[in-house]
Amino acid sequence: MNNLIRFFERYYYVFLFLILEGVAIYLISVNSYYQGSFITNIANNIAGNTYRQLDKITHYFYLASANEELVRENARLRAEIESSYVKFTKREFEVNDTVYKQQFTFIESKIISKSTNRRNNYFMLNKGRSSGITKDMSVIAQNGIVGIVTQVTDNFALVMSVLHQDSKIAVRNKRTMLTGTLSWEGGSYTTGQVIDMPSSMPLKKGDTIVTSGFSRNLPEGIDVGYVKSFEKDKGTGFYNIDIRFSVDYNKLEYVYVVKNFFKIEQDELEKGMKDG
Amino acid sequence: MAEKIIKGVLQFILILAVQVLILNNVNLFGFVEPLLYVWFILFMPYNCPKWLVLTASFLLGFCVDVFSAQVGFHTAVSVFTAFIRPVFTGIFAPNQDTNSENNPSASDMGFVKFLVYVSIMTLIHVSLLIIVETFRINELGRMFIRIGLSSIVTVALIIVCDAIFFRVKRV
Repeated sequence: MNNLIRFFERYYYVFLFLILEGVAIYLISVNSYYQGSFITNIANNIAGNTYRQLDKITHYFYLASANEELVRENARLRAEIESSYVKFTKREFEVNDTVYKQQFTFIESKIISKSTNRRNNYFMLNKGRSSGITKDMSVIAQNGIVGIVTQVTDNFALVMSVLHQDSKIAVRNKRTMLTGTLSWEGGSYTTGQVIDMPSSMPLKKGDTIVTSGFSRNLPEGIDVGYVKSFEKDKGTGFYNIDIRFSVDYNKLEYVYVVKNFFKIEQDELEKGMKDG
Repeated sequence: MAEKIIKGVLQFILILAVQVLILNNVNLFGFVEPLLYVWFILFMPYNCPKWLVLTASFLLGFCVDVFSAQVGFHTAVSVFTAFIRPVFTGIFAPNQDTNSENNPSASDMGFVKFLVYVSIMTLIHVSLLIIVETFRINELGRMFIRIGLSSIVTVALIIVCDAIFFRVKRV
């Protein structure tokens, strides 16, 4: 018995290390398998409240550029409203409300914390479940895509940035309509990679890459970036492309969370396909 | 004794605040993560009981994690760094009594020894963190750049902070 006690006295340090390390590894595994678990919920609430306080102070520094962007967006939207168009045809057969049905709506939100220098980057938004945000919604900025909501608490949402190793977004070339997949291989936050784009039609420097709409939470045709350089993979015949993101993720402050009115319907359809 | 504990808790909170509120929002070249909080693990006094070093590092890592949206990574690596700390304090400050109240610092070890001590510990900490986070073979090049730059910036930060807060005592 004495020996046993002496043994523990001597090696308690190693045991304590193993226990604490075990807890940490457990946290990592829980966090990656059950997004939105109990611990991450609490963690996000604490971090969210702190960052909201900090943001109250720091957002004054960005007011000028934020204003400028909002003015620019206002101008663009004003150009799109009906009164800015001249009607050339009078389509009397068109019945209101049944021809066009709104699929997407946008919840505006503010970023209260962000990172761009890690391998896996996240944003935190100042709105959550109580504002209608749910998991898997996508997030866009006025001139590009931002990421996907991975966790929501009542008042905050955590967004997996495009700058994350698990981020895969379906895109296409605006000019040639050929599709590919957007990923980020680390490196500079201004440069992303598009893979699996067929080389059946030639690519040009400066081509615009937009979302393809295959991802059901993301509207079609939203800017992603511009082709910076590319090379043809000899083996597969697909292009490997470096693109310059249309959004400066480091300066980003206001974003829109995309709500898809047809999501439940689309989910059901897909579920039916899997079951059948 | 109570004074010591209060001092330690204040240091903990201060370093955590600087790390989370300022350094986490700093963007240098898009690659660099300045991880000043490692300093706390390095400078705990020699006579600080081992279990306290481990537990404090665990808590510190956990708090940093809470603010970086990925629970567990900083915690796991911090605990490991705290675990191997006695080995390196043993090598670089062999004359130190384990009952000494001093902190491992440049004024205590001598600048060169302290620099090597900080560099090795930081390199281990940063490498583990980034390897665990990335976990991909095909990004080795970028990963090494990340590790290198982050380590250099972190070491530089620690040396500067050490010079400010544990000033060299002229005899």
